[in-house]
Amino acid sequence: MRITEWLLPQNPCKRFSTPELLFQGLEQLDNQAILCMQLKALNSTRKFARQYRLPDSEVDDIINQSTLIFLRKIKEGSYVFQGTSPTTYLIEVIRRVAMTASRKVLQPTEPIENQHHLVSPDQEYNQKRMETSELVAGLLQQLGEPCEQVIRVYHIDGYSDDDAIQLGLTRYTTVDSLKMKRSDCMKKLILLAQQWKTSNNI
Amino acid sequence: MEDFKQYLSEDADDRQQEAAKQVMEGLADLQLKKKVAEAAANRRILLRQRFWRQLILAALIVVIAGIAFWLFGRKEATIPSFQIPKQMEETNPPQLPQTSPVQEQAIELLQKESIVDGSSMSSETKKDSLTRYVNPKSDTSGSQLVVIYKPKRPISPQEQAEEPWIRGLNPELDAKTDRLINILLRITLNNDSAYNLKNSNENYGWGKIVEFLRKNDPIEARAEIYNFCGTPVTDKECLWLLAIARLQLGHHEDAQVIFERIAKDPDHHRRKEAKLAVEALQ
Repeated sequence: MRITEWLLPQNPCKRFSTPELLFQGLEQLDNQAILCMQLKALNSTRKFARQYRLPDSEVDDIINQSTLIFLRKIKEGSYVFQGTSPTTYLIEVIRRVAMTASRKVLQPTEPIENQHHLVSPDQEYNQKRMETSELVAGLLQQLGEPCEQVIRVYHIDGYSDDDAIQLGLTRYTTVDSLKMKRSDCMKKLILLAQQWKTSNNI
Repeated sequence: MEDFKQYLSEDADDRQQEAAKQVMEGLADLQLKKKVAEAAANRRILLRQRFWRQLILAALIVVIAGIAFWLFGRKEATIPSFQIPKQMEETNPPQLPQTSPVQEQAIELLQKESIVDGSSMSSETKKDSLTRYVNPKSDTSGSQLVVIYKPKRPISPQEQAEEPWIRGLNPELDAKTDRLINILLRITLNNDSAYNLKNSNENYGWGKIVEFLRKNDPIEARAEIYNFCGTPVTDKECLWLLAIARLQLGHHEDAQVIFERIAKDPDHHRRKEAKLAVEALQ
């Protein structure tokens, strides 16, 4: 890193001067947009962590978890942009996540199973999504190379086929061969998922 | 990929479609997780940079302040050195000028005249009250030397303000020691605001001791030091005043020992001045 870059670091929010631009960046999963929104919400996260008596080490986890929930909502279309800053929405998510985390830290004397009102539908949904992503990650590992790599480059890392070929991220040298291989791998992955569901009676 | 989509829409049964949906959801979530992890890493780097930048900036400010303090501190420390008399001489009422051989002759003549005239005024008093002019055109052999007496000019308000700090000459001491005591007393009073506040009382404590020293009464000053500060003298300011008192008593070596002791004390507020005094006494 050059000294000038170090002395005058880039402002991640420079490109997102309006809430609309920030929302567009978040829709496209732009790293700078995510970082900008997180930095804007950082002070509030610390404040909530203090308010709910959470240790400072939890701040990072809370902001990451909240960002994930918010991005999911944007992807699914359950968050509709109405002109207000997306950071405001994120801060509300952070507050809820911090509150949930504080409940985990401060164990109630009554078993949690008896306190249904404490478990929000959002929380259950997020838990389900987490389980699904963990399951798919496990199935990908089962697939092994080169399927895992081919699927990961496109679906997780977000590279286009052209980029993947140009950068040499896989062993395939043409777009067609890469697409064909990925299609086969996806079929195998779905088959694995189906087998898992059958074996677990789901 | 198109082949896969076609497979899902045409060939796959409901169970397969459900599994495919679950897989796609899982992959989308993994992508989001990756993005969040990248953002978290970037955030950590940015915050770490910000922290180090603030730390380095604070350190720089401390260093600059330290250098400034050191430079100005040095400058202030040099004020009490023997360059000060130049400034003092500017602010003080004119004191005894350097006596050249010609002026020595004039003083001798003055003494003779004072005897002839029957004047009771001593030559020292005349030195203080009159400004002497030696006619430069006159013969310097002495016999034809013409001395013109001129009344002393009125004291300015600034000089009047300075008046309380002026100490009379002690005839028992040599000129150099006398001058050194004057300087040390001036340093004592000028460099310590305490004398302008709680110790300004001429009838008590340090103020009283300084008053005795100004009146060329080192014995009383010493007695007051022992009375006020106790024995052995441990108070830092009392130690400084004791050194001046001993100098005034003519005990140069004893004074030097105390000045050396002060100079070696890193916590003494007059350490630098004491060092200069030791150099002057050596």
